[in-house]
Amino acid sequence: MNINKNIKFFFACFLTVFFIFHLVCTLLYTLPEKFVSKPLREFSFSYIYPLFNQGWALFAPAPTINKELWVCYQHKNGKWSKWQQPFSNNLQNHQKFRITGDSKIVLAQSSILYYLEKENWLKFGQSVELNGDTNSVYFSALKFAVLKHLAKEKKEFKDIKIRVIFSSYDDSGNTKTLFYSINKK
Amino acid sequence: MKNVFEIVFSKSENLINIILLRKLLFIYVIINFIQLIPFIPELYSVEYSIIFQRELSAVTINSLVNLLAFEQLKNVYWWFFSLQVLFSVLGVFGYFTRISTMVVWFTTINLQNRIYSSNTGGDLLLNILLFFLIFISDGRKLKNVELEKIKNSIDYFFINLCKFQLIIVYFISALYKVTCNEWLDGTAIARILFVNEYSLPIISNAACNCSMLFKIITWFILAYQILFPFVLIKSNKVSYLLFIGVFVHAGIALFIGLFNFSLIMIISYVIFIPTKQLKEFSLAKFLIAKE
Repeated sequence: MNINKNIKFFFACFLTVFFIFHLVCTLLYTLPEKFVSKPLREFSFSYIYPLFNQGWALFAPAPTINKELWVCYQHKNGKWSKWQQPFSNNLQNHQKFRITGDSKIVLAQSSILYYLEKENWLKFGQSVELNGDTNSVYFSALKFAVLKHLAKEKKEFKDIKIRVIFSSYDDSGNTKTLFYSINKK
Repeated sequence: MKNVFEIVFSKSENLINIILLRKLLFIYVIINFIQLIPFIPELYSVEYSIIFQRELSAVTINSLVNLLAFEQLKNVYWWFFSLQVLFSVLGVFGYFTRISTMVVWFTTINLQNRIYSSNTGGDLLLNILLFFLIFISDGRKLKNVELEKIKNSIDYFFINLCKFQLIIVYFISALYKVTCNEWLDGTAIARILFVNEYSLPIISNAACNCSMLFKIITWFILAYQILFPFVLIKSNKVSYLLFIGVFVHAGIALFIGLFNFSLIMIISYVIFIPTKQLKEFSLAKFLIAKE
């Protein structure tokens, strides 16, 4: 088979165009929002998101808030359990042995709590104790995780209370704490 | 000196790097599976999965990489794992290279999308690199000279896509960081270490007491990310940037706890090692002995 020089040339051009298109779309998708207009971002989204989804902010901005999930549940006899952290074992294992798959459980919780924090960011200044929105998508995901965890632990209950504690530094290095409580059957 | 046309259509000198990268990624996929075994019910099973997922019904490109979101397919994750591991093993031993890469990519992206909220940058980079590797040959020469040239040109472009993808990771990350106060004033690492899931109790105390040390570490990481694109400069020696990168990522794995992310980043450095130097590493010698 003999492929003439023109065909090879056009093939190389095609690959070059694809190469440039891919890199440009990747940059448009990953650059900070202030550098890219909304239509261009949307255009790159349709190409990049399904197969090449990525984001490289990598701790910029650095997290400033520590998040803890606490749960207590009502037994069938009506008594409430003590407050407990459902995924604390995973966190402890993750801190002891970096190589284990506990990191997946820890990061899954962390990302839901991160979005819950972002969703309520403006309310944080208003009160030390907030009552959360039970219709929030992130709360639904959090509650889903808690219920599945309790089911796996074979815990039977009538009702649960969920509380998220957000702690942050103030300017003098002291810890400030905020509560975000959601009580829901 | 070769012209651009000749370079594109001649056999890429980085092909050995790619063969090694592919095998290391397959080994990573197997390790990742072993890590996940005790957690598979909690992550994937319909009864106990803690990860909430909206159901899909329409068939689009997005749904083809989210097959485990379909009601009828929610329980077939063990098939995905089996195929993923089987073809990774075949790939490590050099069998059905492209088919293995394709199957491993397809199963990996579907398995990862099922547990999207636990994914790190490493998982995303793994998918992208595996996808590019599907199009890169295993280095065997074709009988037809013209087809060999076409194959070489495809190899050339996808090898460069792999390289530029890594440059983009560091470039974009550096860009975000230089526009961020905590990275400029040097408090970013101390702040990250304050967060439980990215820390160790001993280290968070140290972060409060030795603020200057952590400022230096923050600026060091920032400088490293800014300088990383210089790794593209051709040299006969392994770039010092790669040695520093291994050191930085080992720190991220140990102290921040992003072990898998760091492993993927370190593996991907293989692309930037000069081929002559690469052949001297004993692990590389062992893995590419057959090629």
